[in-house]
Amino acid sequence: MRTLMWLKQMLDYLGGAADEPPVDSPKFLTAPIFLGLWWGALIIMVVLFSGQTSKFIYIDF
Amino acid sequence: MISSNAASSSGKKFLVSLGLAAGILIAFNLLVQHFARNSVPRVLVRQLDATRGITHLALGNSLIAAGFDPSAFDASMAPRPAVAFNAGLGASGTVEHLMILQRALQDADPVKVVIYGFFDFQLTDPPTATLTDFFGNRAVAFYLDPAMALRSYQMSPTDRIEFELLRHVPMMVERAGIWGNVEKIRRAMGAVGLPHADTNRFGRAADFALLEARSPNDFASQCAVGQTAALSEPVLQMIADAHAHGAQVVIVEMPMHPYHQSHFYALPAWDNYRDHLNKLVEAQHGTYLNASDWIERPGEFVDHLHLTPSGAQDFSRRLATRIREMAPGSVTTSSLR
Repeated sequence: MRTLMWLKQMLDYLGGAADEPPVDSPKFLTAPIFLGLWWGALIIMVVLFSGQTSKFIYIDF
Repeated sequence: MISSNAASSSGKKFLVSLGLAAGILIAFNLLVQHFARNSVPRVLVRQLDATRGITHLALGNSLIAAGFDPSAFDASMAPRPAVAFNAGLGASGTVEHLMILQRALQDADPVKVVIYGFFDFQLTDPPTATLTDFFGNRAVAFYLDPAMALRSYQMSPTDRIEFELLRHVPMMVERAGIWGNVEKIRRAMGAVGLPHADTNRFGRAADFALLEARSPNDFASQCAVGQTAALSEPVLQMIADAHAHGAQVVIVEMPMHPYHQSHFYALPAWDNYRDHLNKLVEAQHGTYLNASDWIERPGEFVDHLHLTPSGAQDFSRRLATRIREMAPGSVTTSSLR
């Protein structure tokens, strides 16, 4: 149960829902360099998976 | 004092993070720009620029892209020398076609005939667009002639501002190219364990039925609306530009699958709409050519709309024969029906 709670808090932190990571988490998670890389990567992931909202899908681009 | 130092330290950390995230995004944009150099529209424009002495230019969407075979056309134009070029661009609209035409007309060698293939109500549909429409091949509007896009598309003021801003951001302009690859992987994974679905270069064959009207009644209603409509501005501009450069314009009702023929084009409403189009094209001194029933075998189509390579050869040979018979300036619309 504790592990699950820890995981939830970690995901909350990584997803931006919480300001602080759970206790006992690696220190680098709060480093500004990690946060910059992490959020840059997340934005790219959003772009990668943003597709057409239309039902018809044409893919010859 | 302590809280002031803490705030300053926190602000610095935030700026470092922000700077790094921005750096990653800039690097990603440069990468996208690099890989997008071979996107379908960019390759098409490069080939268009590199081809000298084009005499017959075929324009339109994927129906032309799949349905026009320049080699078969050129061979059937013999002994007349001809250099045909297929400038068809899948999932594109009339404004993009106008951009491509204007690009082709910049060539020193004049194009003699512009062949414009259309689907259903494409000639009279107004060029309305929202920002999300500039996806995939239609993103060509962002970089080929953005000024024309802003001039020709009917867009909301917000969309115009966003268009002007986003056209400088490669990961937004080329987002479909990235997404297309992700989507192909997703489809491959989603198809595991399922019966094989027919696909062609444009996507899943069954998906293209979604581009057809929902029912004959629905189609007839659209015909009734179309009968009161004029040719859309980009189409008029294409005809005017072609004429200004001494080219003839042949508007082609593209070959359709027997299903589309029997369900939609066999309706009296389509006959009326076709007559209306005929008159509109004739009034612009263009030539209207009904090729919708030229290819009768279902096997010559990869889906309800697109021809197979052999179907494209048949169509192109027949088109060349008709155009070869045209004496410059003397063709009447009815002679080609």
